[in-house]
Amino acid sequence: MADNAGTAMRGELRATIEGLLRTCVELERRADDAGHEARKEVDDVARVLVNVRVPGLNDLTDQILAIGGQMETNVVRALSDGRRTYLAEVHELLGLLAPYHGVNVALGPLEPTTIAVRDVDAFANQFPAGFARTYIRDLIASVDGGITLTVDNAGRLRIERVVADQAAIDVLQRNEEEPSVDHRAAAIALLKNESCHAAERHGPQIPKEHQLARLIWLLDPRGENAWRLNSDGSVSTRHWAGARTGGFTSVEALAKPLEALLSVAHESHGDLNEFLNSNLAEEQTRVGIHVSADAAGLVAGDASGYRGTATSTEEMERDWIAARKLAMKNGNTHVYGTNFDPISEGIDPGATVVFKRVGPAWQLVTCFPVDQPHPANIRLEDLE
Amino acid sequence: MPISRNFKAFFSSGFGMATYEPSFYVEACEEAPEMLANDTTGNYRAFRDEFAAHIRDSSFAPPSEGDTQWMTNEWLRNIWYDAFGPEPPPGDPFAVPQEHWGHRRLTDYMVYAVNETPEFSSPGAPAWLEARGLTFADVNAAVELSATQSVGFRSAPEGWLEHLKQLTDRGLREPQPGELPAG
Repeated sequence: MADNAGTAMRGELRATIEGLLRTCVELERRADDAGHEARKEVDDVARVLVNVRVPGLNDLTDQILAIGGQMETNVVRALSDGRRTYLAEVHELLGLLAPYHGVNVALGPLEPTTIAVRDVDAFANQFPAGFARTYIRDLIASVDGGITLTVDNAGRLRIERVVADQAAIDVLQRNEEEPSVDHRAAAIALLKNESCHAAERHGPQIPKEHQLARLIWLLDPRGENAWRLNSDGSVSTRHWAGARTGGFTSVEALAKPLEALLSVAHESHGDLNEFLNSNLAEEQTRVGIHVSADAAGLVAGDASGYRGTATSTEEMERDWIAARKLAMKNGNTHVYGTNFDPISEGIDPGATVVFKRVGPAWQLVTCFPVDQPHPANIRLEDLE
Repeated sequence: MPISRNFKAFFSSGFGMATYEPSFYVEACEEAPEMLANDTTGNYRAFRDEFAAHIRDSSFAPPSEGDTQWMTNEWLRNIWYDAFGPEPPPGDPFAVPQEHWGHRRLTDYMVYAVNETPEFSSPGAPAWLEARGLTFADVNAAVELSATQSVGFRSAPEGWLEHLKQLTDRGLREPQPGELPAG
């Protein structure tokens, strides 16, 4: 929400914090492995000794087993001591990021504990309550599911510049006569309009990898916007997306919010244009309408995509976007996303249906699933 | 001032949609001069006047939990600049110094619509930049400001909560969570 001044600094802070935390998780995993490995080797030695009966050495097996346990403890302790430096750095960087989140007082101190990162809540509790703790919890929770792809792999993706949504529309058309579905023909007509990119960017035919490439490297799955991997490793693109990409998993799911909206429009005014014109100011030229999952009949599994890690507030989303902007300028770093079903994971899920006024008519521009409506959107149930 | 239906209609017509549909945000900014020029009903001018009043009176409530009134106003100042240019909104008590725009301070339009070259930027970007006395190089340099440099992030000024309380007491705005009690 605040200004984007110093996008580079903001992005560096955000990227560094996540990088340090991921390193902590990785170190802990390796230390655990090393500790277990050491113990297992000692156990093997001890196991051989169990059958050796030497007078005066009866306790030897127990002693050797104790060494194994001690080694494991030592490795883990050494790690958590070494990790303090990382955490102190993370704490300091969070302090620099805090003003972007409306936190204008100094962050509280870092608690000196040796809690394992895998105990997510206890680990986050080392950090001062509020902004810092929430951020740490969100970041740690997304380490395991965090996915990215290299810019070279993104560059290798083939974007088919066919009318990608035609296949989706064909499927809808085949089922047009389905007696249970009202307004399907009208929904198809909206989708078919040239200015509509609902199916091309959010249709079920788009491979998951393309949704990920759109999130991480702003590669347009529609293939329309210029995208170039430069010789210095940086990426130039005209395409833009926020910290969430994805779409509907079936053409029927894509049609659901449109059909729900058309149904309300036809019941009240008999026509979509009449409906929108009577609800909107004369000069309004664009509108985003939130159709709730309940109203649309969207259920878990109807939508799928990715969201940037730790992007639960608008400012966290801006941090992540700044980190992506930096990654695209540098080409040698990347950001992470996690798998996301906005319908099942959302707090007020549904679909945003976006229209644009062209002359006397309203054209559908896009339709995509969301975990919650944008504050600027109008809700379908508020329209008369 | 409560948010009017007219304001809401224009604001939700692209300006408030930067994170969801950036192309709409960019279009809304680029068409603002034309909207003002062809405003036969006066509705768009009324929208602009109310926009300035919300910045002046801190009367646009933070859109989501965790956003403060100060951050919300700063966001609105950026949208104002993106739509209407470098002249600050009338009556803004904390106007952004003009030389900050595009050098120390970046807006959503600059982030979305202005990239390295015109080829990778919005077709309307050259005209938009020219109207504000900026170049592609200016904006790109601002994006690359190094981590060590102090950049134009503005924290709430001294006495901010008292300032808000006065506006609230004068009935210009609704109090928000975390502010000083009325009276």
